[in-house]
Amino acid sequence: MELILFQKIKDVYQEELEQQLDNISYKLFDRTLVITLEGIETLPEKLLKANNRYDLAQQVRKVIDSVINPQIKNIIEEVLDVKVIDFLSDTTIDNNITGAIAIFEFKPKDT
Amino acid sequence: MTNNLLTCGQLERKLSQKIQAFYRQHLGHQPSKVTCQFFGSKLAIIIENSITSAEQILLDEGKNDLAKKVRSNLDDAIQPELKELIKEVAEVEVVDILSDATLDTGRTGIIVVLSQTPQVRNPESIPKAKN
Repeated sequence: MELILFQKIKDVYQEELEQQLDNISYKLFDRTLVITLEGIETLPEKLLKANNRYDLAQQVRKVIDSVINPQIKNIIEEVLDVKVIDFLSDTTIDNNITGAIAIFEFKPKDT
Repeated sequence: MTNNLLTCGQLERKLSQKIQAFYRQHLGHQPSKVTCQFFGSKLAIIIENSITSAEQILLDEGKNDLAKKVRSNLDDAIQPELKELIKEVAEVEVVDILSDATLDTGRTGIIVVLSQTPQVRNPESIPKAKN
């Protein structure tokens, strides 16, 4: 399950941003999945930061997250076969890391 | 020496209580539940009913964008002290804090990246993050 989860998330980054993630780690507690993605920062964001356009880099990241994170939520729902009822996520470009917490409920079994 | 250390569960509970009190002190609102869970050198914090009355009024009045902005700024404002609190209680350096809230559910989720796994009496009970 984790291999599929990791691969699908990596694919999203690759397809949407041509960005290869360094590392993905996760922990599953009851009805909670905590996931961290390292190496999320794209070269354009790095360049903006290096040229003192930190605020602009943050704005870019906000938009990128708004595109990527719903897809990660969908991947979690698909791979774990659950319904995510809350998805909380944040990124710090300084440390090149995105963290997300998905609270989910199990789908009712078909009868 | 080892006997003076808290167990992982005790440390998580202590942190939860301190964070609950911290929210009350800083935002004038006590969340209904705070859950802390260590995994490897990270800490996941889930805060239920974390939205203040002021934000609730904004939401009730349809000012959702303003409520989101307020929440984001409040999170930023309390982060340095929250970082200190975690450092003091867990006795490890905090490398990064990632935080987000959903106004609809009132839930806040925080992932804290620590410099190392905290010292506890039963270190084997801290689950490792899988990667």
